[in-house]
Amino acid sequence: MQFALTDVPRILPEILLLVLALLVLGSDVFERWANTDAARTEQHRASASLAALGLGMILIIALIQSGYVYRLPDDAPINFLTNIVRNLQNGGPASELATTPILGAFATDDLTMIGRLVVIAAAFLTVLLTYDARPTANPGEFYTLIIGSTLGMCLMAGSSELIMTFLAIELTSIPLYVLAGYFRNDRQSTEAGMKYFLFGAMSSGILLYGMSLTYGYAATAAVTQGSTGNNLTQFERIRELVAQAGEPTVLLTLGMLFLIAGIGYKVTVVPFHGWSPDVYQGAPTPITAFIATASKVASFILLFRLLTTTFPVLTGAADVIIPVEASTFTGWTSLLALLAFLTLIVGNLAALPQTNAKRLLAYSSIAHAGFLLMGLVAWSASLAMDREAGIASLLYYLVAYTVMNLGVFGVLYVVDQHTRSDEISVLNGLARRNLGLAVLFTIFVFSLAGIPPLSGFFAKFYVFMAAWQAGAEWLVIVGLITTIISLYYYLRLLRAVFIVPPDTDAPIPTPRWMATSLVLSALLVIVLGLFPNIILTIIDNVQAVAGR
Amino acid sequence: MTFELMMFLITAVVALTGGIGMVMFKNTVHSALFLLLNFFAISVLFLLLQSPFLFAIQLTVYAGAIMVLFLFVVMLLGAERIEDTTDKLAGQRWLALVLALILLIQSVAINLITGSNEPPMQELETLALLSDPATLGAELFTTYLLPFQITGIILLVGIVGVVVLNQRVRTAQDKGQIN
Amino acid sequence: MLELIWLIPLLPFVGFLLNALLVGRIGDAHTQERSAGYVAVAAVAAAFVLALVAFVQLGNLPEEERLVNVNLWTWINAGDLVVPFGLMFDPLTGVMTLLVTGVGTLIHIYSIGYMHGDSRVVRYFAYLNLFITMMLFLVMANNMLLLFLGWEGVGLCSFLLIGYWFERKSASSAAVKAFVVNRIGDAAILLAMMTIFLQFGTLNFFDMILDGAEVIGFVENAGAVAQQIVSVPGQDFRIGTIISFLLLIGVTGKSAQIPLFVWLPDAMAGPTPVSALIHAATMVTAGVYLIARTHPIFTDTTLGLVTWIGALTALVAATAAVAQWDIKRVLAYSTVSQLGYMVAAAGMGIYVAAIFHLLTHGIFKALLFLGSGSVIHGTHDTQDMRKMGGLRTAMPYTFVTYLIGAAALAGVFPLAGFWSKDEIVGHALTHTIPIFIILFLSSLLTAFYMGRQLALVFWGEQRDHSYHAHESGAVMWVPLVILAALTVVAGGLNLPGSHWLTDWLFPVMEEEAAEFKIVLGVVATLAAIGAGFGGWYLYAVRWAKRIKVDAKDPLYRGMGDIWDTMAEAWFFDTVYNKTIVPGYRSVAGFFAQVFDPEGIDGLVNGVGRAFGWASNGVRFFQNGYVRSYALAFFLGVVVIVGYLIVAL
Repeated sequence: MQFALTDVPRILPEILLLVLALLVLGSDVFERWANTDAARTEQHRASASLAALGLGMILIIALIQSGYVYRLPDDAPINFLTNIVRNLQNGGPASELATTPILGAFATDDLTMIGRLVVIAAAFLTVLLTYDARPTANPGEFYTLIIGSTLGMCLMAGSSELIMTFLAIELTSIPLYVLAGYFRNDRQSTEAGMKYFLFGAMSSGILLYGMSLTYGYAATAAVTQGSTGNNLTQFERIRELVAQAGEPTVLLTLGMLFLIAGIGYKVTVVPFHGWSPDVYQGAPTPITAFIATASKVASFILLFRLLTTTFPVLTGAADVIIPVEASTFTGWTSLLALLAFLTLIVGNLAALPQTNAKRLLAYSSIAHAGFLLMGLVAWSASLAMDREAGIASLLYYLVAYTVMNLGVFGVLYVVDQHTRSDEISVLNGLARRNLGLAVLFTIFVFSLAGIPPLSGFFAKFYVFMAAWQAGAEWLVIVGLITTIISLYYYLRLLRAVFIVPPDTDAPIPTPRWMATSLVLSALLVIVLGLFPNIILTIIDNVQAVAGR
Repeated sequence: MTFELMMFLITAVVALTGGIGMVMFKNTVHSALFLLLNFFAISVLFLLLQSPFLFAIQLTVYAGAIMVLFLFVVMLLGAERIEDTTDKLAGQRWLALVLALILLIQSVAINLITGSNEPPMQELETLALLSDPATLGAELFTTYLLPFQITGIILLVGIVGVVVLNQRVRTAQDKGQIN
Repeated sequence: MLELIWLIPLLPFVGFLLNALLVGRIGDAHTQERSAGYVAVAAVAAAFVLALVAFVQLGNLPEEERLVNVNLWTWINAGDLVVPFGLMFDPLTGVMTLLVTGVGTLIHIYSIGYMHGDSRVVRYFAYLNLFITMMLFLVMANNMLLLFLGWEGVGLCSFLLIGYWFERKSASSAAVKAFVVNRIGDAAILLAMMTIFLQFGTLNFFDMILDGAEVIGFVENAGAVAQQIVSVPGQDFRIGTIISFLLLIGVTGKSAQIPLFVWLPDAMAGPTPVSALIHAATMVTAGVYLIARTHPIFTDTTLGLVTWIGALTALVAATAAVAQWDIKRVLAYSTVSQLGYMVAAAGMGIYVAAIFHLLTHGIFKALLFLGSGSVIHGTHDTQDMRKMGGLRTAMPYTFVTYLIGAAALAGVFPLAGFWSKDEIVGHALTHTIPIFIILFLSSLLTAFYMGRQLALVFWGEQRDHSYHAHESGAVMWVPLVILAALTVVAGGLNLPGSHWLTDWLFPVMEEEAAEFKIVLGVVATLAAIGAGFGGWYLYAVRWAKRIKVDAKDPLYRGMGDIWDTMAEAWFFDTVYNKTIVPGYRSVAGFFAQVFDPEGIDGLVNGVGRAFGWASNGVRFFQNGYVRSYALAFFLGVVVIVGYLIVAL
């Protein structure tokens, strides 16, 4: 299998991201050496605007390529413009090229496309958030790392091969380690970076162990069947080999377990979540937002693709509470149901007594990982239709989750910029200090709590529905109970904002671009709640992929 | 007992000794040397698996380049001895040990359940062909072209990260900028 | 014009947007206050007019066509799950819409006077308009999901409005309590929706055309499916029983029934017009509306439960109302009690009577609350009835209207409350005797506590002279007079002879008019007058001297612990605080201390004394050390692998 010229438009967004990263890195050269505050601000804004513009353009290009908004009809007149669009869309998910991954390693189907769009949009909103911030040291490098990490996430979303998977995870993580510890003068930030790095390294080890077991199984099977090939690391190929080998062995299951554990750390599933509260709290707030959203989206998509294309044999019922009979353990759906249960309980209960807003939201984000897992558990359903509901609900949840978390961390960031603290107490009386900001915050928090008609409500509802249909009724009930519990800590945030009087009535300013980012997120939260069909129709395309 | 099995057992014991020694010793240089031992043993394992090229790579890259770098850094910084802090979490060490034992037992159990794990004998020529440097190179530039490229990008962001983290902080004003 | 019904909820929403975004930015505080009030009143009044027009037009249609579905857009289209963002208008929705917008308008007007001078009045009116919007969504939704939007939305506004005076410490905890308790019911509603969708494949109430395709509605097709039997391990249930039981839990939350009624009395921390609108006339009746709307799905098993819950709530709350000193808490418990009547009526299958009582109660309870608001306003924020007394001369309009409202609540002929309550009590006599006895006893208690309240507030001498009582302004007493007039005539909706409401609701309820029992009517009125007079006599004449500020109630001597039990509403709150809350706290404390060290400070300071050892800091896993996390990770892997081996 060779890399063909027609493959270039298929990975165009990734190529452009790389180009943008290099541009941002190089653009610093043309800036004056910044010694004064004004010059530093200018330097920071130059890099930020370049990054934001670039990400915005890539987002638009990816949107055109996806054909979700506009699809060029076959009989469109041929001119310069339509040629560009046609070439772009030929690399998009709708073309027949998209049915096979590039070199078997990188799929460019709808799943990847949705992942890309969400991840790039999240990066764009994050960069917008930082535009008005106090200037960073080395802004060029700061944004290069963000874009580099975004590139890694796009690759994670499309990865369909083991080595690619590992490299994409590393490409995502390494910049994030650095970004989390970006402020070396800040002890918490440095500590966050260090912890993230150490924990990430350990998880990589686990992941690689799982990969080697899986590969070992595939290679053994291949050799037994007398086929020698060099594609034994591809998800599809492993699935075929497993299917031909008949009964999957414990060894393969073990490999799968380690793979889940390795990726589980990125999606903060209990018990692999330990790092996240510390890192979320310590990292710079926009980076926290980015880690909490984009990185999780990419990891969930990767987890989904890995499990459904590689291990469809290892699925079964979603009831795992008591392994009464030998056959109760039925593959990854059971395992994920168990993990979802733990994650829901721990995430929601541990969030209750927190006094630091970022830490509280870190636990809330863990809890949301539990809800997201329910979408995957739905794969245990016997009917293909119900499985598809699971996938659709998972993807919808991911989109909703991303916008509302970007928003809520964004508001914290604005307050943080002004007060230099992220304790819940600094939110006191926000309604009196900046009503607009308080209203935005309320929208995000209510969406997180799942109040209709915001997108967070429909996301939860749909995930519950999917899990219920798949026979995981007990998990839905746990989910509902923990939703009630979660309300309590979300209300604590709102009580601070609306009810507790502030120490000072001094208004908190919202700089323009931060406000833009927040308003965009809030609009998405509302619009996706009122008109979920906008993206549900897109998500429906994925089901064809998932069914394979 | 065949020659290969004997060799494997010896190498395995050496590799494990290296690993355990690296963790146990308090002197950093000693640890590094034990790590080196571990690398050597692993390279021998590659040789046993009919992969002379990987054997060479393992020796030159890990045992050669990386180890030398480690030792340089350790000696330059004068960090031979790690600080001897009292262990606040002594209990965890025992728990970890117990868990490791359990995992060992589990592995054995899984091996027993799965039965023989012996890989089917492969023609020596095929193995040699697969581990041939030329084949590996060709693979890297055709099938694994994309991952290969990404390795380059990872190196790039790695370098950027290192540069950022090691630049001297210019003024006190930088403290907590974005934060 | 009926296809324009979406304008009805839209208008208050526009009012909300104007108040939320625009009004706060113009002019000085005075202009803002005035314009906020006008905008809010205009929006709701316009909605009322539209609702009236729609109502009349609906009446002009032939009876079997009185169901209009207006689907604005397809809200959700995900596989099987097709839900329109659609409104409906049928006789039931019609009367509910009129009640919400009509009483809503009067309360908005009243609020202009009551909230005068409040610093955040713009926000108040914005919340109030948002509430009306959400309530209209609730009663006009043509599917469960949109109903749930309204259901949550009104809860949200209730939360915001209870906590409106955040300077008062009780307000913020009452707001949170109301929201959290309600959320328990909401979770059950969500479960009910899932079950409905699984069994019927739809969330719409009635059959309709959506995007050119015929879609079914579950209420319309409930009959056969609801009787099917599903097997939950160990027990067989009818599908209808499961669904309606879940719905019932939701109803007990929103409509403040046993066991979830505890939030409503605390909710009185909000401004009084809010108590009138949300916690008496409209939001709390949502549960009764929900039962009436989905009644074909209720099986006999659940209906029996519904009846008993309603009747017991009526009794418990009535006894609690007798033993309160706070003027608003009396009314709050009275509301809970009256809601019990409606729920009991629904349980006995007389949905028309339930809706009839809902309507009349909405009117006279709004009157009573607004009257009490007028009293509170005129006595400078006094709520303790022991500090009042003799107000009938100082506040004549308030007194007369309050008297009418109280008589209506007590069920005195020929006021509205008599007719609607009599239908329920009268039916209970033919239904189940114990229920009848409970309800009859409750109505005696009702008359008694209203007599007691009248005596304490309006008769005797003013017992606390720290304020100078005065009548409220016209903007406040005019709504009182209108409501009082409505209270007098509202019984005409369903007089024994004409049965207008029964006929009107026939397309929805398909119920025959109830037979009027003249003997019972006479006995009930006499009993009510007797009990009311008794209450009045005891507190205004017999024991007038013994009522002092901070004194115990005279009845306390004779009853002692029983009185305390009544005052604490039979200790439901206490039991919850002693059982569920500590359990919940200790579990949370456990997780926090195992998984998080930062939580410990918050735990000790905020929650306190949860677990003795929680504060010792046995920080095991979440202690900030990476290797501890690694150990947890490792432990997870070992456990999972072990699980795998065991399971295989």
